[in-house]
Amino acid sequence: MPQASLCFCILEDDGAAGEDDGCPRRFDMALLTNGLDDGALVPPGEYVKADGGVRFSVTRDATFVFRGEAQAIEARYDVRGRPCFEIYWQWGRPTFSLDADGALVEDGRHVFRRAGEPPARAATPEQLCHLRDAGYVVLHGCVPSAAVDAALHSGDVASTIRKAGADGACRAFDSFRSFVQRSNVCFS
Amino acid sequence: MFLVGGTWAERHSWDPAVVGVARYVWPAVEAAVGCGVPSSPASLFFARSVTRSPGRPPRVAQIAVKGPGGAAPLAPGAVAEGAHIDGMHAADNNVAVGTLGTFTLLVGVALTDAFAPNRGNFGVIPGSHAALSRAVDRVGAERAIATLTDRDGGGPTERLDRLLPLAALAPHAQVVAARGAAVLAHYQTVHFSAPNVSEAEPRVMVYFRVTRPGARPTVAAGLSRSGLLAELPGLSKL
Repeated sequence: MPQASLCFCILEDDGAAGEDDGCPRRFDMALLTNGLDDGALVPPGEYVKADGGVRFSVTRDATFVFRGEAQAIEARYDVRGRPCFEIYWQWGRPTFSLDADGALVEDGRHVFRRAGEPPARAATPEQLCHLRDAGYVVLHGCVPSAAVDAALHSGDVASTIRKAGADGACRAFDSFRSFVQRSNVCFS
Repeated sequence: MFLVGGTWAERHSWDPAVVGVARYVWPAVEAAVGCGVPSSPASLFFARSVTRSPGRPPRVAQIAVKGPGGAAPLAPGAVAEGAHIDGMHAADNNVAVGTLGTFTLLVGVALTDAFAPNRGNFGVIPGSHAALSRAVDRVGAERAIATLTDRDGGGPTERLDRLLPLAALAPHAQVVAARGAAVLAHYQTVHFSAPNVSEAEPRVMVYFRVTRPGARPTVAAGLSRSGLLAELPGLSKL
């Protein structure tokens, strides 16, 4: 059983500093971690209950905001070893777990998804048949654009592009242009 | 590794923003391995290259970049240079000479668009996973593994072609898709990186190699027809 001393730490800030220099670096992720070798990503943002009736936010400074009231998140593991956190609100003290597709699930029952983000899709039977018979399957539109951008703007991707000798190509690579030029990854 | 034209570069990344794209693909992965949909990727899967212990989420991804230019387009029906299955030794990968690594699913996520062939696309030979298992059954697993792990200095494509003549297989397919698309492939599916004939657009993919935890078939059993879907009950029951 993992130890219970967890904390949220912020991997990268996309606030004013990033906007000041026009650089779109933005990981937009908070990391739920025990400081050792385990952890789970919790994307900050506004979460909406499946029926649209309840909204709350998880901020990048690891606070839970509901109806204007903020409280620090107490992170831990649940009985199944999944990263989770508890909060206090008018309905008691529920536990929120991060689901496989990025949703936060309250006490295993109520699903909250990030506003504007569709749920991850399981493969259809037809797609699974294609994987079985052809040995591969393509799932179009599987990863949201924001998550693709976050990955694409990482330093690891930029340095791999440089390794590929594509420095010059970066200039024409719109989603990279601002980032790589300001990071001195790509030479103009 | 596996240069095809255009410059290939890869590295492992522990950056959560890179690794984090896996969670959007996991429901499909879970459906394929037939384990239902657990609450977290951590509960069933791990990325081989991260840890040998099951029960961990992917903590590392392979970033693969195909630089633009310097290559002729791959003609329809042509055998792709660099076609391979993962787990075979190559001059510049970490697979030991004389060994053959196996896993369950290769999962790729496109971070850039590939709206036409020959843009550094992920390419496959459809049905090659089953063809390989038939070839293994035909010659026997011991001889098949000996061919794939031969220490004669041949590259992975050459060794694979000795066991499974690639020209006799179905025509290759290049995945044409917008960024955000994911590809799931059986680990035995012969695949390659297509040339990138664009003038200025690197193709960027993120890969995860997923192994189903628990008791695993031997390499020989896994390569055979009877073992083809042994780790993919979500497919075998269809």
